[in-house]
Amino acid sequence: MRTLNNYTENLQHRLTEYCRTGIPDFLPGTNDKGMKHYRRLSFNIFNNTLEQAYPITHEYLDESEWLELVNGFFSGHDCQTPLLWQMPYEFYTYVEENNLKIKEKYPFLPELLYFEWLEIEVHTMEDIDIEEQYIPDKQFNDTVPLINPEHRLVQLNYPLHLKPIKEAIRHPGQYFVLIFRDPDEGNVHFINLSVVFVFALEQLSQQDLTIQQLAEMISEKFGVEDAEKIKKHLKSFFEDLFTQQAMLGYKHKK
Amino acid sequence: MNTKVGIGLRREFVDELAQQQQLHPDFIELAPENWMKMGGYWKKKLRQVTEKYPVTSHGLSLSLGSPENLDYDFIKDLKKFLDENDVQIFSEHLSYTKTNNAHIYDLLPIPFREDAVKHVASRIREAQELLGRKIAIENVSYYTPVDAEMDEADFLTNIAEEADCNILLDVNNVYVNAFNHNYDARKFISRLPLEKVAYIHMAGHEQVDSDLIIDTHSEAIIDPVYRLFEYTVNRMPEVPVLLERDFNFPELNELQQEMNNLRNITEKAWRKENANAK
Repeated sequence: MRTLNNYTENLQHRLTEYCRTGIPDFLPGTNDKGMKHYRRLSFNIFNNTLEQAYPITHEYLDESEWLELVNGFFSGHDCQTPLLWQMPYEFYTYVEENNLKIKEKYPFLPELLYFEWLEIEVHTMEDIDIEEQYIPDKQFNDTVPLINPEHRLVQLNYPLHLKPIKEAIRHPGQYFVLIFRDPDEGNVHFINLSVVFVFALEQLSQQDLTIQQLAEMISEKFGVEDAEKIKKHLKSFFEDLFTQQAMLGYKHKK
Repeated sequence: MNTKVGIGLRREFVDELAQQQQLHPDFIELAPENWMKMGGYWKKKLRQVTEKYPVTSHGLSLSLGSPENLDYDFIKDLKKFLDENDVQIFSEHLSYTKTNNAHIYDLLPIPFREDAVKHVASRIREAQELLGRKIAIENVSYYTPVDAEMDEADFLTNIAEEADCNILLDVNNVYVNAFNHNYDARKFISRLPLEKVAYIHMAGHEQVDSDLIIDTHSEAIIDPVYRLFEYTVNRMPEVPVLLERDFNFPELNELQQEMNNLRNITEKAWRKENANAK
């Protein structure tokens, strides 16, 4: 049974709309000073949270461009997450999905936001338990590399993980990045990958494969005849991943 | 959890709480929304602290005063979090943070109106049932009323009674509201059903204008608020008391001193009460 009158509901909506847009709305029984405080405080919650989440973007844009973007998001996007720390992800998708003028000036803006969000996402993503037994060591024959599951494998159009933003935007191209969280300290690391190693990691995410099998698949896919040489490169690659804790060890093939 | 003084968990001093060197609270309070669905570094830190202290929890996004339906998915996640962390008291603000299907993450004032009493009470009852525990609703600081039909004391009392919930009495908020809206803080407290108060918050604030105080949690508690606290605890049974400090952090020994001050006041009041009971 509905207990709230339309009148009261409307008062609540109007106060929220005023907070989101800053457009004065003379609500009955309110005082102007208090109303302004709510507008200031609620905007600051959005602005401060987004500044903290996107420090590179915030520094890159002019203050007026930044504020216009935040204002547009606050007034135009209905935030769905009850968790404030996840709200910046909605900011990224808002910029990605909407036809904003600022993207004409900065076509890399959605990717920059995505890149900054990824660091938060990998740092805070829920722990993924490893149920299988594995051998925490560098190399075993007939076993399968076990990649640290707390990772994201992404393709970027700018080398944002390698260079400062002003330089990165001058080098558009195809870049592959493994972003992972080390199990000890929980810090986030970035590894630049070649397309061959991306292929290897993608295959491993789909099925259990030994290094020998991976080498054979790469040989076939990329038309490289010397599978032994590929195997050697793969061993070295996985050793490096293990050292950096992007790989946990080896497990027995199912 | 009686006669206990705790502190709100902040990331700025989570290591200190884990090491227990300068801060010695009896319990900690955490905002579930700041820790839910997190793994990695912060989950480890949270575990280090929750293993050492009893936990209370102060919600931010349940939005008990919203016009729309409760967010049932969120409540399910919240219950899981409260259960996993063995939360002993769960409180939420008597405000709303969401309308028209959009969160704004700020505590907006519910119009003090008859229909809002019934509506909010019914949402609290439903939330309590889904969470499997009582909620203590907090009197929030508010900076403007919105076409009110009653005053704040009646609004809070009527909802607490109709919802059969507890009250989290924020004594600093009473002081702030009394100043901003020109009423008597002691009279306000004496009108509340103090037997329903399950928990107390204390904090500092900032006076930004001759007629405006903002509830910032960024300053030390001032003497008039200590005196209002003393007035309050002398009129009610023992409950846990929490020190909130969210910004502008001082040396940790100053926070400990504030907890000691609160403990001294409560021990004086409630020791006397216990002696009388015997």
